Amino acid sequence: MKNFLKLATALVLVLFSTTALAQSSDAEEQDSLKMAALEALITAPPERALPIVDKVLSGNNSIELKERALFILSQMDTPESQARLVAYARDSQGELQSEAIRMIGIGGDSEALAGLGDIYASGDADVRDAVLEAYLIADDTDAVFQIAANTADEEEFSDAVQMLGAMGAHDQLRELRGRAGLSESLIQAYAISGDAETLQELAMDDSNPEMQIQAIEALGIVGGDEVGLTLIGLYRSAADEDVKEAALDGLLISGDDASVLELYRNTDDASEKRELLEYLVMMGSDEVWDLIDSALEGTE
Amino acid sequence: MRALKVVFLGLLVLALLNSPATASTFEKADGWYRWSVDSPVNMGSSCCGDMSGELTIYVRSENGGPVRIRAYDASCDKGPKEQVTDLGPLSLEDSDALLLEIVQGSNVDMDVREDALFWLVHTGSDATFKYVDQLLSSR
Repeated sequence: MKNFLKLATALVLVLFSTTALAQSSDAEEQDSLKMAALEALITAPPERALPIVDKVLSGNNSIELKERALFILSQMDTPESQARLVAYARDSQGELQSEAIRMIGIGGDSEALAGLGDIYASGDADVRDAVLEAYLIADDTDAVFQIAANTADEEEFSDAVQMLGAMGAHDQLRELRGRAGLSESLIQAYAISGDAETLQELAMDDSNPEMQIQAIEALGIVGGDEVGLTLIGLYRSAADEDVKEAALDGLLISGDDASVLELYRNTDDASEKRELLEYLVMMGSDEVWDLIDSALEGTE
Repeated sequence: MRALKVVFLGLLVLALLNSPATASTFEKADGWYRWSVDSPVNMGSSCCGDMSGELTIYVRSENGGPVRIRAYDASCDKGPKEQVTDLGPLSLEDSDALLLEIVQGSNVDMDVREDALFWLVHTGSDATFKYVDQLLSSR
């Protein structure tokens, strides 16, 4: 009798533990199936898929499932689905709102993208970042330009301009210089966008020494042979020590040790040679050790 | 004592009920199974040109259970060269039932179940969308 009770107790314990394990495994399986079902809806007619996706988004589901639902919504090419996506981008909160905004960028629907303007204007910093990201994904340079051109807020302007830089929007960035005047963030954006032409023009302009120096250093970010020649030319022609140093910094940033080496070999000024040698050491130039040997031997 | 035996037997039955179900259709023999089904969904075009709307579904069974699923438009059938058990043209409902059997087969690899679910939705019957709706609404 005692043994039988023990056996029954053991069986109950085993049953409960296997049931608990099975329930946890069932829940994982259920989640995987839900995700697969949602993803499969991408091939379904939008009129069949939209009500189901809508229900997932308005229901008490995990954030992962809802984010995937937003992606499926973004891929439905109907006015109804795009309107729903804009509604989620406008009315949701936190992570889901940011994801809905990004999904509008991925979907690339022009009307939905246009709807982001109001969401940007009324949103907080996270929402504004998400909208800029959506414009980046959709390559909507004009929308970002409008933000930069119409804001009075320096940080907003800077964020929008940096985004235009990342989008390689040369024309829009040049137009902003005409409208808003030159600024540090614009110079950085010219560098990010690779606009060597504008930076070379600014690097030659000594009417604003601070901006000139920033433009010269920013040329180093763009890099390339032509930039190397410009920086060498600036270094040689500049009377201002700060401009010379900025040109060297530009060469350092671009990793153009060949140009610094050329300057080193073409000067007889010992203090200048020392400074150029320091730059070559900082740049980790392969030839620097030969130069040091030659300098110690007095042959160069 | 008798009451304890009854409890014991009850627990045994419960344990058996908890054991996973198997996908019966593909237990008969290992190898490839094939059936075709007309899909009500406009499937657009494929690498072979415009799709016919008739889908040929292949299921590979090993050790009595499905391990792989492939599906092709009838105009672009690149099925296996090996011997295939042909289940013939099936109605949408019968095709759904086979795919659902795989989706719900707890012994079946999750990837295979997910593939089956994909093709189930792809063939797009009313019952399928109802199932998907219920699945996504479940807690």
